[in-house]
Amino acid sequence: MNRHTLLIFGGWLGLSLLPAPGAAQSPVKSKDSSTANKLESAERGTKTYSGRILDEHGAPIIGAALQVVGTNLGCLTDGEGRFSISSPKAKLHIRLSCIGYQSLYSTISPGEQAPLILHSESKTLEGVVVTGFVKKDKKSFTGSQTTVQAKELLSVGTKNVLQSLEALVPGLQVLPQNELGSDPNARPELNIRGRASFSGAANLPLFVVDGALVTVEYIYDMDIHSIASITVLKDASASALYGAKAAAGVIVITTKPLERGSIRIGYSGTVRFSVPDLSDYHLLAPKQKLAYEDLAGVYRADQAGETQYRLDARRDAVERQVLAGIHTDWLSKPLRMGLSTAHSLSFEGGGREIRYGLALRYGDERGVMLQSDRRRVSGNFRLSYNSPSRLYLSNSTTLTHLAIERPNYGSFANFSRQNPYNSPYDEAGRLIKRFADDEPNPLYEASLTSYQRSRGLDLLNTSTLQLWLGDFRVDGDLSLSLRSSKGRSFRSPLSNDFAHVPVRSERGSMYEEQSESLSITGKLMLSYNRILLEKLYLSTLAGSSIEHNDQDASSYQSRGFYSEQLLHPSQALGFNSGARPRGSEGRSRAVGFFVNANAIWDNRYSLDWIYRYEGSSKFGHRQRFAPFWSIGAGWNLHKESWLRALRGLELLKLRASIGYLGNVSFEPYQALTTYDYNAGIDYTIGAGAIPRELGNPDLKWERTLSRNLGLDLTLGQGRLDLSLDLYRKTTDNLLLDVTKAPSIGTNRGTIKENVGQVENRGIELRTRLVPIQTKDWQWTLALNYSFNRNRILHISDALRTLNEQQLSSDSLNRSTRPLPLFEEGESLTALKVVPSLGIDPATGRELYVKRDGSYSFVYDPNDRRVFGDTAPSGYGTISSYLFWRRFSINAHFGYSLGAKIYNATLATRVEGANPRYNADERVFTQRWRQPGDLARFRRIDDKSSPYQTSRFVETEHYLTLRSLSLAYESDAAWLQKWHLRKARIELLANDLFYLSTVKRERGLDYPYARSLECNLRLSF
Amino acid sequence: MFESLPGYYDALYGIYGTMASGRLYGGQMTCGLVDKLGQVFGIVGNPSVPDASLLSYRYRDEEARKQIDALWWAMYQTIGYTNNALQSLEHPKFEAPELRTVQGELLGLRAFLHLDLLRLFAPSYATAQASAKPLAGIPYAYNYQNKNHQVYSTLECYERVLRDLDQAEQLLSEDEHIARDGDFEPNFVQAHRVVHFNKYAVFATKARVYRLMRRYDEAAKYARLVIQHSSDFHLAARGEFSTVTRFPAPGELIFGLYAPSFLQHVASIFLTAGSSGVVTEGRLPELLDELYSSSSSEGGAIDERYGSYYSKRGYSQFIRFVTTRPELLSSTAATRGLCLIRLPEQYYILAESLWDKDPKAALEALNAVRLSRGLAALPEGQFSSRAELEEELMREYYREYPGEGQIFPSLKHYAQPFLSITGERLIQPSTDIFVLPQPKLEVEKGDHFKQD
Repeated sequence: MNRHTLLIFGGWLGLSLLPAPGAAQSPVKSKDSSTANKLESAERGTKTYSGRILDEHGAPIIGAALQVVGTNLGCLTDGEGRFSISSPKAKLHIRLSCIGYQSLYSTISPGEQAPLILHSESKTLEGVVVTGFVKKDKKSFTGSQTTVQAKELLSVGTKNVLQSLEALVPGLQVLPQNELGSDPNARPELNIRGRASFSGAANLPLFVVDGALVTVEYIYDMDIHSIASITVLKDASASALYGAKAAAGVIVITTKPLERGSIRIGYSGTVRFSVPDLSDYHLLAPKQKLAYEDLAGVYRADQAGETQYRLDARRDAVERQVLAGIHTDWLSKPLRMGLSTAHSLSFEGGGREIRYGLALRYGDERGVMLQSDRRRVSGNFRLSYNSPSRLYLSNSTTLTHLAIERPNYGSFANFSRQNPYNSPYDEAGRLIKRFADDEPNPLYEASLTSYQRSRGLDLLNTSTLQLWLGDFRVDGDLSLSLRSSKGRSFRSPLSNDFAHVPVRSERGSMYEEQSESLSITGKLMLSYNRILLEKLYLSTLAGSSIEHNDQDASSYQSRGFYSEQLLHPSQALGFNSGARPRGSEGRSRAVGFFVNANAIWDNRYSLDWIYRYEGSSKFGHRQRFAPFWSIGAGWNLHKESWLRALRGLELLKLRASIGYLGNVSFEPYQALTTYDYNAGIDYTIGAGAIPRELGNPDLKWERTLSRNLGLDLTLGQGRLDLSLDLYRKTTDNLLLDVTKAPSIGTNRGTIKENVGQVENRGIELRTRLVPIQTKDWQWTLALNYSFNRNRILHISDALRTLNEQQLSSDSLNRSTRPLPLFEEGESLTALKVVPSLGIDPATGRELYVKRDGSYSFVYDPNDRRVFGDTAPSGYGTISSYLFWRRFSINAHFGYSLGAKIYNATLATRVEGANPRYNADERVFTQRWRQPGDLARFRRIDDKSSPYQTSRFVETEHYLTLRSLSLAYESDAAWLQKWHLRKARIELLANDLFYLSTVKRERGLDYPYARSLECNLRLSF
Repeated sequence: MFESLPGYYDALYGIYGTMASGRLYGGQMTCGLVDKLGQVFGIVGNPSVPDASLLSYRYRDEEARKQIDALWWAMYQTIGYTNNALQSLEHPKFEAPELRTVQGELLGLRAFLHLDLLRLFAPSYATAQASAKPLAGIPYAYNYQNKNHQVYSTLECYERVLRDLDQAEQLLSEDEHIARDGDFEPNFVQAHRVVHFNKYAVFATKARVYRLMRRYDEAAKYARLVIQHSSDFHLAARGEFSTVTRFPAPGELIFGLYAPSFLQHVASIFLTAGSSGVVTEGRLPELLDELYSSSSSEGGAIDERYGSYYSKRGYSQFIRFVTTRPELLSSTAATRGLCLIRLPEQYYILAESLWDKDPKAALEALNAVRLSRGLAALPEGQFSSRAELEEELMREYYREYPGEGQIFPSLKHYAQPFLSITGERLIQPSTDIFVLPQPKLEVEKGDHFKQD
């Protein structure tokens, strides 16, 4: 839905969705009303009612509809906002409505009225749920959703929409990416209500911006100031209209509507300082490091080919450096204070019929690591035409240019492992290329002309149409999204990467990639609303949607650059021998038909039914179409007579819903047998093509049966607000490889089939308490809590075989990430390791517990047991909003409880530490050195990577201050000196602290950061 | 893919190309695994080499197991490819007279591939016939879909092979001009019928099947159909054997494959130097001497095949396909290929088929090959029984067919004791030897033979 649609929908909702007792029967028909007007005024004894309708600013509203409740009598306001109507009655119940404004019910007496004020629509948005198809009254909505207003969103920060959303929406979890830290170029991964896939960490929800389907990158790069509200649809009843894509949830973003009036200018600006958060790093000092090396036997010649003499000489050299006082703080070398800025400027205006808006935005996000930037420049132009109650047209075009730079020296880990006694510079102050032990100097790499850059261009155009035909309404939208990106990464020929390449003409490399995608989506629907039997409000909707997707990507690598100043692919001397360009392309189409019927009886009971029939070209011809549906029911208990007596009870609603949602998780061609020309097959007289894989025409959607039970409660004029949801989602038909009889003739031995089954169940709680509310003070406390448990119900034998293969691999058993071993009845994120008794004080070796309970020094992967779940048993946020007059202080705390963590720092930087590199302090204090030591970690000279055992499993509870902000907002008169209507200034700090029960290094490849930002918002 | 004729050709080339790969006819199905089972090649000096398992038929050994499983899988993959193309021909998207030929070739290939699977993984026809209850054969694949193929009895499998061949024969009825034209013209399908499964390949395969079924009238009929097609086929004249020892074997080749990497593969196996006295790949020279020696009655004629196939340097070196490495480099694309059906076999089939009714004609058929190979004709009355003839035919297979995967199936067909590769022991025929075990996964996941 387009942003303008918002207004229209609001108006329309006003007309139809909020009927007062004994409400209006149908929207105004201007033709009829004018004739009715004439007829009635012709009668004798009629009284004339007249007046003006104004907006909040006192401007006349033209074309507002006035309707006498319960009749067909009505009129429209003229160019000055005036109306005049005649009726024999002594009093008139009227209803005033206009697009973009809240409807107003009033009783008027004959004669000239005092001006009637209509309030603009945007203020009432909180009472409606935007599903992207229709807007529904929150009170009768049967689904589970969370709506977040712009204000709340901005109170968490302007850096990352999705992270802000996580703080406000229970059930939405942005997955911690310990490696990527605060990397501005890391795409966040998120789950809504748990994960239901065997591969990857997340199921990305569907993102919808004003009706257009967009990618998560688009959301990540979008201007947070342009957002009016975000609705997260979580259960079947809320999202079934999206059918086959809705299983992982839907995030509907509505941008700010265009307002009418003379030209208005808005400005928002942000300046953000980010400083790296290295509080989790506890590295060895030079002296300690050398002592550790001694203990670990680095300088003991115990390997063939090593001579003690040479090792002694090496040790002497190191000791000289230590004694010389060299203490390089390697951690700080690649870091900086990241200074990010963002500016958005908007112009908008227009009259009743035509409105326009132009927004420009520049944002430069600079990470705390050198050379990590994300720069976004975007422009948006919108135009709308509105002929009230007849036609509404709008178009919005957004063009975004994205420039990304990534560090040319690789990961932060290259620095955190450097030995503190090495200086990056030699005596003459030149950068050293490689240290004495042949370790490359990462700072040298950083000084080269190597780069890693990409550019992207993103065009999103959305057109919306609304048409009123009597009692029917037609809604249509068409959106086109075009993305293209180009990336280049250059490795300088002087880089250490090529130190061992003997041929000069093969040093240096350039990798170039390009991708393009086009997506067109369209939707057309017809809706009809009616009140029957006085109390039954019926709204129906039917429509169809289409989708077309095209993508194309290719990449190649060239090599050989004589100079590091030759930065263009055209300067390359050749290609890697045998290398081929790579690429992929795909095309898919989908079509869907949907029906939605919603009935509300007496504002007490509501029933909602959605059916969607959807087909996609990605599926096999036998399964091309599939049905999705949902049924939801709501009961407004507070409207019941027996509860009306309860004072202070504003809302008590029970909701329940059930339905099937889908998920498309595979490549366009998996269901079809397609051919491939194969380099290995040359039949001399012609090129041979063989099937790429046996396509499975029976492939179908992954389906999720989603059940939800919810309760909404509001007490004491909004003093307490609570939403509680219980859900159970059973996802079946999950795509998995299934082993087949070889005689079927598959190329890989397996075929993808819909066999997997996963269940997620959980609780979500959202509460809001207003302990203080006076004229000057307002204090709101909010608590979100989410709990999700995941269980595998069914897996395939191929997955079991894979489990076994992985189990038998020694290196995987020693890797820093515990193996994902899927077993029915267990969680997808179960942490399975071999139980350990700890370190034997006599030998310094680890003692394992076998399945039968006996002890052994021999590790057997089959002894693995479940040691809990890496998913927390509860997580959420605690927020506080304090307002005093025009000041506000907001704080958002995040917490997580009871997750079992495999502490990779212990496994790689303490125990599995390679003594050649720097390590965590605990290597020195907590490892076994001599018989009798009661140590937590193995003997200090054991350099092997440890097996995954329970010793590295820790329970994590954490508390973090996600954001703390102080803001001042004013629309006072003194601002007008500068032609300002409104101003807001805010200071906001992100991630000030992180308290955790697990001591581990965070941000391995890119450190975490704390940031402080200053936001300024001005409206002229 | 199947919207145009070139699409069909490319799919066909994909099948032929896959067959020509080392894991099938460019290796395992010919001079690799199958000839090792025929005691033709194999490294015996080194027990750590997996060949020992194959040469002594220890099919359960892991390495043998792996190779056999891989072979089964690759064969059914290729059958899958033919079935996918055949499926599309049920409702072709366009019409062209050439589609008949394409369909004929595909059906012929399906039969050919299933027959080769039968020859390895099912009991011999005679055994199955003699058995009181039906013996399981193999899955016969008719489609390329995600479902198991039905396993038929061995006898039924042979019938199904014949059914496919009958259909292929019909479809290829116009396919007359077979021999490869001299010019090497890529993409000219008509000119390269010999590297396609042509009509005479269908006849020859039928002769093969009927011979295995010991339905000698039909076997003779089809062998004759091939032999009498003299415009394309004729045995090499005496003294000219060297022109037909290998692909493209003009005049003798009925069906072969282009295999650009085959010679390289062969060279890497057979041209590596072995030390004297050690059997590396191939039979001991003494055994070969004995095999190719001519009896006194033949007037000291020399079997040209010996010198063309093997070089003796203290150990025997198989030089049939490529003699030296320099030769490998100089070979042209047109000569890089392999033979799958050659004319001499048809004479052997004819000889075996005619023996009961016309021993004289049978001997004539055998002598035709002997004469072509530089040997003297065997006199009338040489063989007093079918057993004697079959013994000589078996020796002929050993002489004529090393490197083509035809020897093991004949050992199985005749089911007589045979010499091991080193000549040290006589191997007694048994089902354990002649029926390779199907992959474990096939037994677990595949269709099971139901006796009805």
